[in-house]
Amino acid sequence: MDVESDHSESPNPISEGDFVRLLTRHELALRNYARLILPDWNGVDDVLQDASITMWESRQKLRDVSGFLPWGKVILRHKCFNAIAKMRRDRLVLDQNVLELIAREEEAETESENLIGIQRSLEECLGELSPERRELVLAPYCGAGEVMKLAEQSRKTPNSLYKIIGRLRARLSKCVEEKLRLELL
Amino acid sequence: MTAEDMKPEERIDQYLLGQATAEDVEVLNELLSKDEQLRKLYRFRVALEGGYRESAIRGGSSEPMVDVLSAKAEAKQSSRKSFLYGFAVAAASLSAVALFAVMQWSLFDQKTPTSVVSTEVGVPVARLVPSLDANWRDIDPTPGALLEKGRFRLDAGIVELEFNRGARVTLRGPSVFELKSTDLLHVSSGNLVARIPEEAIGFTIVTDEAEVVDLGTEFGLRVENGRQTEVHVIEGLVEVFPREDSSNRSAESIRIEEGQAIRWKVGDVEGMGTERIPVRSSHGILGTRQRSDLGLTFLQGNMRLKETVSASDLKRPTSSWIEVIPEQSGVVLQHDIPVTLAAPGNYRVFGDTGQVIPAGTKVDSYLLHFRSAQPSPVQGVIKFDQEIVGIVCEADQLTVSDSIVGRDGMRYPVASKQYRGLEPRIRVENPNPDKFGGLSADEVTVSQDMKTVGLSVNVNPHRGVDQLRVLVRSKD
Repeated sequence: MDVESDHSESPNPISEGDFVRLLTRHELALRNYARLILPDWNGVDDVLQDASITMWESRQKLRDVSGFLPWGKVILRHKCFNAIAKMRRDRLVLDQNVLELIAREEEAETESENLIGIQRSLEECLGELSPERRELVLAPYCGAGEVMKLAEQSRKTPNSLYKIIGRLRARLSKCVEEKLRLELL
Repeated sequence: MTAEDMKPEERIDQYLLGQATAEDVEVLNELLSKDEQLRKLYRFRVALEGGYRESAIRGGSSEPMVDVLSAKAEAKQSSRKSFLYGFAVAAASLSAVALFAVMQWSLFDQKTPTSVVSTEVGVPVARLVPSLDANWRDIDPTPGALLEKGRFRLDAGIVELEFNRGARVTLRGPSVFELKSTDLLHVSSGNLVARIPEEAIGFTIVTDEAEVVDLGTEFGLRVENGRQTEVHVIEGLVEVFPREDSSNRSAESIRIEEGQAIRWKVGDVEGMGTERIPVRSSHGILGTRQRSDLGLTFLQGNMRLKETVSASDLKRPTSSWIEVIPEQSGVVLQHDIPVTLAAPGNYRVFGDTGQVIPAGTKVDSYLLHFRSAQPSPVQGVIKFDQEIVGIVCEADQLTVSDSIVGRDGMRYPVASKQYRGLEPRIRVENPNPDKFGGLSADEVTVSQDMKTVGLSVNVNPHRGVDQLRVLVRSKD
């Protein structure tokens, strides 16, 4: 990784403007990385903000722009695991070793560009669903109680709606994989 | 739900959606720790997770979303912007370039959410496809009729409903059910078989006690109002949830695999599905012969199969239906039998042409019967599994064949008194409706392969009856 040790500063530190541009460019990858470790979206923004401030404060240690993302992920990983330690008391989280394994395997791979491709394909696949189904599949991201509310409206149980959401997600996942595969041809 | 039978990717989504139990998380830990491919899949699903969230924040995809989604999206937007705002405050010495980047980002976030999709009040949710001896309470829908939301009573017979999203449900009366939406059917009583194609994901059937979510392709229900419900999984997978307002409120869901069936009784507070029972086929659930069993592979238009016929049924109006009545099967003809048509073609006149089915031929017989109080023509198409060896549509010939292949005890119309058979019987320029059976000519089309018959018939209201008898080579 192109990062100096904790006690040294790069002879050619990146400018403030470059730093913000880097942060903006890699925001999606960083957000995704945080979500990989954290059990839900609650806290992703807080941890990301906290990590970005740490990055800002220690930006002098960064040698060049190409090392920004791996460097940022290391800082973010520490912040995420600190946050998880507090969360474990009141919610279910995957085992620390498993999450570290996943995080390490992710570090070398995902750039924002890959994620943009995935999300663009997902948008297209979502566009193929009827408005009601799209509403259902996105409901878990529209605030607490949204799925419950849809269950009441449709006179189904929330559990059965989650089951339907699961099926729709499986279908969308296949759809995205297919679109990505075609892009590679 | 049984933990063992979930796919690993289902477990991942369950966890990401916050629906996993401690036991589920434990299993997922075990799986992920051992399987690098599964960890890769986990990362892919998380990447999608970000996409769902982004889409929700932007108020859905290119299509309109509902109000509530937009409102929630706005709330989420505020939350997203706070991250950058906090960072900007901390990094107070940001350059103008940096601020520009921040503004661009915020503008991207602030894309206006799209608006409302109305609900489908008054919009048909299902279509009635050909039925078997259907006897509805208060209504008499024709094939192809579009059914709106509402409660229906089917006193007898079998109907097939095609829902707007492709789910097909065959119901057997007596049944009481309510069409609630394009993907929700409430069945209070009756037997049914549901076939759910991929595009109809999410189709749900509820009974008073349970909610059956299809995870596969075909299942059957036998619902006895207030007593018990059976779920038979013919193909694929089904998950059954207790309804929250039912007596089984505390029970967990049950996943039923292909070839399995359960029965539970109302008020069984110990839990659902404790009683496993032998699975029934769709045939067994509907408790009757299928059209294919009867030698009919296709029915279209205003035709319905009438399997149960009383002696005097042929005297009653058939409304706008051509009824297909199976008669004797496996009859070996002792003598030549006269028929009106015995070759492919389109026919508009019907008379004795001297054609016969030779003695020794083994035949199955079907009477196609139409009696209406309306003068308008009715059409239909029927396809037989076996080759048609002759069609009898002349009144005298019908009378001859009644005693050979007709149903025992059936009171067939007497030709001399009624306008039985198809008309006109001879070629005429201007048929007189008082003289002939209908106000316009009947028409019969027989396909080249001698298996399909198309019909257009009409009668003089209250006076005429159109009948023809189709004799096919017996498959016995």
